[in-house]
Amino acid sequence: VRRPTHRGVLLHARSRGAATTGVALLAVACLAPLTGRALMRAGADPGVVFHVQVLAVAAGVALSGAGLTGADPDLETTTARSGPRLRLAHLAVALLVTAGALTLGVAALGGRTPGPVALDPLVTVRDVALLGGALALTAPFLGARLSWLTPTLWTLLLLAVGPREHGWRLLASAPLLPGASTAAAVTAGGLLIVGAANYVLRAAPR
Amino acid sequence: VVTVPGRQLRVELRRSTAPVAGAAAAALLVLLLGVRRDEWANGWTGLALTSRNDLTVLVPLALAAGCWQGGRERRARTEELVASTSRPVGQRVLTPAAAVAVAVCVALAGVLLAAAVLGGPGSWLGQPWPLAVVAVGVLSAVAAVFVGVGLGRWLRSNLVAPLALIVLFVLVLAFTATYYVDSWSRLLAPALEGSGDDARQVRPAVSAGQVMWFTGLLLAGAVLAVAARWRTRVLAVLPALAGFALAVPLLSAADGAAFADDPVAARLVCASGRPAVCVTAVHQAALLTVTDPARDVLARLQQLPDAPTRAVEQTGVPADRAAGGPADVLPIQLPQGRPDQEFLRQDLADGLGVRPCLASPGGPENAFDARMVAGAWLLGTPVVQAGRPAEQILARLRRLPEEEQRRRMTVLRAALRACDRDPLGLLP
Repeated sequence: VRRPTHRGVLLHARSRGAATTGVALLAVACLAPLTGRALMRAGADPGVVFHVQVLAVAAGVALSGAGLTGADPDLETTTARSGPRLRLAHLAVALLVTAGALTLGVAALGGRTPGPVALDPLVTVRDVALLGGALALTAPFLGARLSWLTPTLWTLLLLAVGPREHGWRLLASAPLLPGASTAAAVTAGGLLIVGAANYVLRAAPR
Repeated sequence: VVTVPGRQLRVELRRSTAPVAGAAAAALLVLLLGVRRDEWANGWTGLALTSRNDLTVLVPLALAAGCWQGGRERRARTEELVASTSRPVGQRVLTPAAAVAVAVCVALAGVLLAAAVLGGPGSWLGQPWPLAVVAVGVLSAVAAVFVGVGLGRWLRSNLVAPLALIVLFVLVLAFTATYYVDSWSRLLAPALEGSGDDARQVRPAVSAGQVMWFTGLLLAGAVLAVAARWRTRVLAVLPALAGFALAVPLLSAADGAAFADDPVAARLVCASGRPAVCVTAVHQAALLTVTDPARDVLARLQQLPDAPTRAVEQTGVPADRAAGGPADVLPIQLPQGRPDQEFLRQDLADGLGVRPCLASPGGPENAFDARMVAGAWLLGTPVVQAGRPAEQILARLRRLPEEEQRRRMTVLRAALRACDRDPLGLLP
């Protein structure tokens, strides 16, 4: 397997629509703290600001799902490149860029705000791992174009129903748990590994 | 070949985003209603309001489904092919949109109908407002579908659907967060929180205003969907503005309040015999349970001067139900669910039949303990829920001569009615 060249990386990014996704991600990363600030000024509960943060993570991860597959997956399989390596590298870079952009957004919000759940960059990174893991886990079944359904619907349902405290419901509430929660951190790690393995080994249809 | 819209609609209902969107909406609503089973335990009125609350999630989902449907031809690269078919643009574009709208409508209505059959009418007294509340909710989902189709056809990216879903959810969240800010603007959101009072209804003007607003949005979505040029797209703002302009006077009336008293539900129904015990018509099923405890507490209160002579259920906003009001009325406040008679007896005796203050100037614990001691003294039972100091106060009170006990309780009752700073300090 040849080492990736600068030109190869550029062509890969272009084939996965990285420019559009990047602009959209930048917009989400900028708008999330602005929305949070506006809501705080309007007297909203700090919990609502935290919800905006989690929704921003869901949006960022959903955006990264669009590039999980190129325009023609069959054509890509004929190239002299290792598919699993390419997918692993793509997923890792996509989630790292998402986490980085959103963490900067959270930092712009002022780091920590008072309330039941403090805004914590670690929570953003953990939620990117959680929702990114879910995205990668379901992308081989839903396809890259519909992969956004998993992170967005999970987040929306969770915000509508509220976090739960026991059993599997606690694990399902992981994106809303505080940064110190070991259960949420372990769930994030596990889901990211299993999800990434599923996507890397099975690929995702268009 | 010109396909008749009916046949086209049936094909779209089977083969497009429509069945998936309908199934997803139905599954989500079932899940949300299942989680919030307690909120619609009082029957159809609660179900109507709970379903509106669930629209916080369902309307963004409808918007995303519309976006996805709107981008179908672009994703399949058949835009030019479809555009070249000998059908008017409205038929080509609006029938697929209508298919998603029909699927979402059928899903929401079907699940709500099933829940209504399971839950039963409950305390519903035949008022039309719960039907209007549900209909407006479904209309808001339809409007979201059409706006979604418009966005999906206009903004040529697969990222539009997830972004639109999340942006709308944040908008609804922002609207509901302004519940703390007393503003009518929150009524522009499809979600509607319950009033927490069964004897209140959604103001008919609110439902009418929301019909105007969502119809305006629906038409705006339809114009956006069929528009092919910038000039036509700008025209889509007009129906939305018109709907907004028509809605504002209706929504902002009555200081933007969403709820008003429901005269049908608030009508008093009284038990036969004396002293009078009355509850609102909406709670008449509880009359048999509440009559005996209420008459027992009324009889016990007769040992105090200016004692209440009748028991009446309290309605209205929390401020109306706070301390004060006529001294001859023992206020009944029925909790959610089916309370037993012993619970009701303790609740009625709590604070010697004086309603709690909205804010206790001496701190909530002081007033709470004083109310608990007074209730236990009246019923001759140990003090419940309050801590050890309250038990000791009750023991000291009971050691006093009976005349002194009654004098202290009379003073305490007046203090509780006046929301005094330290009612507990009046006890030994």
